[in-house]
Amino acid sequence: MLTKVFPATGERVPAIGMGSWITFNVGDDQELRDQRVEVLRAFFEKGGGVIDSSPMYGTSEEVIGYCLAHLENTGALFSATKVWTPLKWLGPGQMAESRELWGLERFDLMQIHNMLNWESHLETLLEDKAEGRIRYIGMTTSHGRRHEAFEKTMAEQPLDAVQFTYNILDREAERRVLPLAAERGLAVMINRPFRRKQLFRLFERHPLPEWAGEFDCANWAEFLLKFIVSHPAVTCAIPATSRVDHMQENMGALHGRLPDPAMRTRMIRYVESL
Amino acid sequence: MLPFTADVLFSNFAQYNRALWPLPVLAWLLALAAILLTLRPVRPGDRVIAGLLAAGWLWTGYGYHYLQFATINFAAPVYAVFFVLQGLLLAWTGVARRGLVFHFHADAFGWAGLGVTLTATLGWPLADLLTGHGWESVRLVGLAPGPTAVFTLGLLLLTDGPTPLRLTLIPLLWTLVAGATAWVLAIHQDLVQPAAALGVLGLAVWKNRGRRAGSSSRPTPPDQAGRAPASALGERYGSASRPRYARTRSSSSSALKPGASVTVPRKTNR
Repeated sequence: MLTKVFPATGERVPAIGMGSWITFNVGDDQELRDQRVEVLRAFFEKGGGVIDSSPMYGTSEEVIGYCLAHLENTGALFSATKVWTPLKWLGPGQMAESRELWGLERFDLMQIHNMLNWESHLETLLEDKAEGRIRYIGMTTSHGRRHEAFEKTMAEQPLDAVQFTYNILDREAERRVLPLAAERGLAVMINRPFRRKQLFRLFERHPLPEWAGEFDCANWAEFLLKFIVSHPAVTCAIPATSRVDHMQENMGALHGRLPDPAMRTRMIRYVESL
Repeated sequence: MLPFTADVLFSNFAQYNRALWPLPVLAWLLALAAILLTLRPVRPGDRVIAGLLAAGWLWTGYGYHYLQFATINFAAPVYAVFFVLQGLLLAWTGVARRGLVFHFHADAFGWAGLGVTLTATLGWPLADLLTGHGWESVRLVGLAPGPTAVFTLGLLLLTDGPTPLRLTLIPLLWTLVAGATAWVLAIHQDLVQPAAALGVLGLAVWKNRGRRAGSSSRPTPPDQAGRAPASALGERYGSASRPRYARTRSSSSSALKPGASVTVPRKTNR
């Protein structure tokens, strides 16, 4: 199974995790909650560990907590969420609520969501880390927003992890952010690996190339995810899904060979030709 | 950037309706009653309609947006503020100031307003049912934001005299938000919202211009000083009111000329 190193400590985590934007925000609907339990069961059964959420995602954290409470095989959990408030003094309460919703005493990774008031929250997170309420500190951005400010923060602040968008069509991060993360020894979590389903809509009517078998790729989900996690600076991709079959496809990327740099170039050329 | 799917949205409505039961039935009946009051006006009817509208907006702001929708949408508290503001505006204008007179007239504006209110009241839940959503998740006037906004716009088109455009602003904005949501979530029946709202706005502007140009046949509503043309009062409350009004005036002054403006005490006016 493919694992990658969290540079701050050398800890290894599965290279395919799970995001929860939209997919786990199901409110109080009991049927949908129970269905998400099955999604998370498949995730852990297939070797998953990293789950990422945010207070911004409605009831996602609450539903994740519900699922975790209904599963036994959650030992590999690597919990990651975010602080998302413009006011520093609201941060500790929000993070305490997240711990309560997940049913955890501490988070493995606490990230500052979309750099919102990052200067203030970083002070809080450094204190939390020192007191053992979190293990790692991270910062997120998405859609390629604020990359310049993001790079500056990566270069200057005591972060352990960063999260941003990267996929086979959105490769801007290859130019500066990914090399900088490698240089600074930061773990990298990748959001929007499928551009919110858009890549499937673009590609799935086309056949996988025959040479995809050279890196043990059986479907488009594996193709797209293996492209991401084969980048040496990437620690983990966090696709989101609400379906068990899609979860199983995603987790398939944890197994088999990865494309080498020449194959990655070939993958890009192929999808751009479609 | 919506953090939920259409299924979750309708599930959220179902939980909301279940929690309020049997209030949804009452709200639906009250909406129908408000429409009937525009067809058969009675003396306290305008304030009742305005009060119902205000209550619908206040409740939808607090009960739906703030308490219910906010569980799945981080933007809902902002929507709640606007809905409460609209409720207060309606209460101030229509209840406290008695500035809204709802009356169906068989002209283009009247039929359009009636059609829009009926669409919001009857068509909306029917569309929800026909598109495969259970009866528990249907959206109703006074409880759900979309039908409440469209219903309000329809009623404002039925007002005597110029439609107060300031009261159409928040409903119009909501229908644009809801239209964008419908587009993203592929809730096709909701795409009617912005189209209907823009249509109502266009008609309202047309109606108001007609009023200013003196081309409308509609009676003028009472102004702040309580002035209204006699024809307005006679037409509004039917033939039974007209003789009484005429007798009162003619007992102390010369006979009333049709269409002439007279000063009437505010109390008797509305």
